[in-house]
Amino acid sequence: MHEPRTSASGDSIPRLRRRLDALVGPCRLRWVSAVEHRPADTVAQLLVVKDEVSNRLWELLALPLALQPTGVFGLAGSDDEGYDARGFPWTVTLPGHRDLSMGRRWHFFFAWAFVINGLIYLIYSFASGHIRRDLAPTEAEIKHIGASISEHARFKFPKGEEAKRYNVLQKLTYLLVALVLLPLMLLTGLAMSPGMDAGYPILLDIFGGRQSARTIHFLAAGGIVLFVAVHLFMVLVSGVWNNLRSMITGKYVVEPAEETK
Amino acid sequence: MSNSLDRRFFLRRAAALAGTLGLGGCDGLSDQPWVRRVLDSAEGLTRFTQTVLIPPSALAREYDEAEISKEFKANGSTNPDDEAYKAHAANGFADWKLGVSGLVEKPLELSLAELRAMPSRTQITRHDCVEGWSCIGKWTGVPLKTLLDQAGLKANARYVVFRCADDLGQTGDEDGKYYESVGLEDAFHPQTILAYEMNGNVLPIEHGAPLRLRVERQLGYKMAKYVMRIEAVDEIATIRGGRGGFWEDLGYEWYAGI
Repeated sequence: MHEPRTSASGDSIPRLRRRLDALVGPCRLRWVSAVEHRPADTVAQLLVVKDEVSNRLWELLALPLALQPTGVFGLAGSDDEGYDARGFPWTVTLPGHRDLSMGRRWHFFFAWAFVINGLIYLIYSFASGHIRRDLAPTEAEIKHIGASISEHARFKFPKGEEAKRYNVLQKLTYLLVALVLLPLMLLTGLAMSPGMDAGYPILLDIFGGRQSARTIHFLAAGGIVLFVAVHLFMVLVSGVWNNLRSMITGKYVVEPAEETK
Repeated sequence: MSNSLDRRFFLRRAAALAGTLGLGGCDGLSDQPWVRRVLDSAEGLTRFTQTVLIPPSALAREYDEAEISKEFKANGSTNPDDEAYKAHAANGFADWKLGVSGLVEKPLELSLAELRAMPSRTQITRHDCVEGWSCIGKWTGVPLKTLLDQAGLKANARYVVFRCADDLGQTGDEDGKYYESVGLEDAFHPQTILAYEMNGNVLPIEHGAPLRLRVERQLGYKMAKYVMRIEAVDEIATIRGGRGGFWEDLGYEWYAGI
């Protein structure tokens, strides 16, 4: 693990970015059971590379896809301490500086919070009928999914009786997250554990090895981040105060359905 | 008076908390001892759960010859800067001896030739680094169980400690030397071996010659290279940083099964 520090005295950040040389702290996504150092196995790569265009966030290079965090995405540090080229900026990593053991503490502590919370949610949701009653889409809903997509795209939200239920896009998204993405996070996480792999080698068979599991873990995490972003955006645009009030008090104001003429 | 103090304390805490709303802001929290204690509590839960879920006899997956990594990354120390070690390396470890001591009935001193003459085990396994990468390699060596049985563990022995030649901490004295420890369950596990061969050749120096520990159900940092001495002990808390290993003393988990 190289950690080159570029002295930044007198350098503007764009110039500094241009000076950051190749291949620091690469974060590779692989689709193999184990092998390291084989570029052909690399699905995608987050590299910090020399780049003439300093404000470019990432760039399609060639196949396999290479994502280039060039400063905006992967520069961490300050003028005083120098800069450290990284796969992700310090503002979204925990801790902000490079400290793997501390990162693991945060990770596994909240992994437990996630697993315990998730188990309670799933058991309750199945037992109470929440999944069957509120989340499973009906046949009619699936048939009219096209209309629902176009309404969403125009930010037209349901009114009247319809506003009291999840619409079909919400249902499918919630099911995807609760029953696919989140369990996938747990299982791919366990597949990276040498202990669990010994006890349950089926984990390796399901995901095609530890490195493939790692890739899926990373992509699923990206999916969850995307879900949270879109979810929060929809909460904001579909009537933020009404939504927030209903979460806390249970009182939700339903606008009357428009008269169709 | 006391109320206003409480309020001030609360406000300060609240302000500190508000300052941590960005993820980067959690750095301040990482430095708080009570936060570390709370986060550390997960380690015990993880270890307990894995002990319950993983049968003691479960073997790590073994791979085919064809799956051996073309290039096996050498991490950590790759060439110990230690005079005694360098002298041994210069003559192919011909005069080198492994010491087995501590809470044993019969301390041992074994040459590489004697170790090679003992029953061996060969396994092709995946090496998982805490950094995230993995490599597959073939290892041949003496099962640790064979040595421990020969030395005879005393009843109060609970851990096996491995003392190494490399000064990874770069302190220039014993305090920086790499060391590791495992519990008896892993020490007696059939895949726990002291390897003297890698991929069919003499173990190279960069991978821990003359002897490297393999503990296949844990992460790479448990698998000490350049093992010089093995000690059976009843307690690891009294050794060095007290957490049972070089990386453990720097904050990594002693149980590295995940």
